Amino acid sequence: MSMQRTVQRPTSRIVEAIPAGARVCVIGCGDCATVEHFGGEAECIELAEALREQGVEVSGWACPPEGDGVCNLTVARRLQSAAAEVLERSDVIVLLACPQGEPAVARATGLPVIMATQVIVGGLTGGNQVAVEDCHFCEVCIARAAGGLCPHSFCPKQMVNGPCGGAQGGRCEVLPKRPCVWEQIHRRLKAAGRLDVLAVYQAPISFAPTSGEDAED
Amino acid sequence: MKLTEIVRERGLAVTAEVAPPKGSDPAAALGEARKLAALVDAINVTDGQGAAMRMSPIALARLMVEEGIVPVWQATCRDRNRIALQADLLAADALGVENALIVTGDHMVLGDHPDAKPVFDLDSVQLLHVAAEMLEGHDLAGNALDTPLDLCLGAVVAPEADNVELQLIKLRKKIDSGAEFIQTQAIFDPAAFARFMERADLQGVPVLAGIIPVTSPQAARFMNARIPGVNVPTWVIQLLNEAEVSDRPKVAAQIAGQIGASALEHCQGLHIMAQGRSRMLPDILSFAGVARA
Repeated sequence: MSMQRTVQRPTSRIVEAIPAGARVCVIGCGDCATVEHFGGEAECIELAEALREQGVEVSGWACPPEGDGVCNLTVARRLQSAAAEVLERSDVIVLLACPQGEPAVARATGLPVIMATQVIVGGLTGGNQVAVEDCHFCEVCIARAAGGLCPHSFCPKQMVNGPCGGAQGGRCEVLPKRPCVWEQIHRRLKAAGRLDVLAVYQAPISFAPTSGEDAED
Repeated sequence: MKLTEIVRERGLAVTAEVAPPKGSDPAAALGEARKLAALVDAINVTDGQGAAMRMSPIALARLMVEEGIVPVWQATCRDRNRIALQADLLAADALGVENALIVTGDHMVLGDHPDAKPVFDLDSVQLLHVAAEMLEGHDLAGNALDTPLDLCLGAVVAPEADNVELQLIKLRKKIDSGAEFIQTQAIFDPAAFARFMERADLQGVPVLAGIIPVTSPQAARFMNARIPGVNVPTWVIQLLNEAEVSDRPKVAAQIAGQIGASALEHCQGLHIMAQGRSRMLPDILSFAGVARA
């Protein structure tokens, strides 16, 4: 089992992720993000304001009515038509929803999506007995390119720059019942023609407790 | 002396290794280091090898420096966070250590304290990057150092690992991050090593091929099961099986030396991991053609 919840990223991290000069549309979610106050209307308005204060050009914001989640493609498309005018004046989406909302919003709007939230995971995953860490926003998200395989979470040595070389027969040397996540990542990225992802130097990640400050209990 | 200087002066470098003691008396380890020092250019001092708790390698490296022996300090990321790692890089430099081999380190579950907290705050590529920044006079946080770090930085690669392509990608990252020499995990297949060296994008960085003498079929099986990235092939086990037990050390030295000689056609040195059997070194070196006159 795993326990997880979504919280808003520190504004400074969101600003860092926005390309210089890009015009931003903040999009929220009427479902759990509204209920749990990390991405409802109020949070959209708040974030839009905070981004403007940091010098980001914000074209506007949009949020589906309460009860409608942007993870539903129909909802996302409806939102796209309702906010068409703002979206036309935007280069990127800053999304205040859980990660499930990302593909639907990206598809409905056709714009690059910058996640303004992060999922904090605690406890253990099912049979694997691997502690899953929260997302630390690596320079390049390998998990996104490799279909959710996050080396920081699934490698027992948390190696983000490549494997240790100790795998035997494709199995992890530390947890021999598990496949080496790097072998899996390599297979997927190779098939996708994205080995370039692996050549990028991944800088040390931050363990500063900022996400804890942002989270409300 | 720095390993890169040794390679430049001699045209190649030969290194061996010692493990710090499981206790506070360094006499035996130093004795081993003295014997090895007469035969090789520099000596690796392992850092909790196999994740077994032992004396800090920086202490043994310093004691070696005092005797004029050139140590290569193996610095693992396993047990220290980024603050402690940087602090130890400075400490090693202050104590006259000139070479640091940066490795991530074996996981604790493979050692004698399997319940220890795995740190792995940085991986080997990141620590190389940080150390290279420190050579330029800055720490990881960007703060200026009073004096820049002065260490020759090394990195490791496993040419016979399961997935060679991933090793090659990571090797290039290590070189881009500041590795000045490369030491390999044990190699047993010279042809495969030659192919690996052909594919490796080394940017002129010298490579020392790792050589392990395998002294018995039992040792071979143990290494295959327990040492990450090591694959003793069946032909080696067969030769040892066929040899009289009393001849095995000689046979082991011959196999190791011949692998070393073939490897040297493609690289700039050897790193011999004799695992406490320093008496085998002269034979291995002479079979490899790198014994000192």
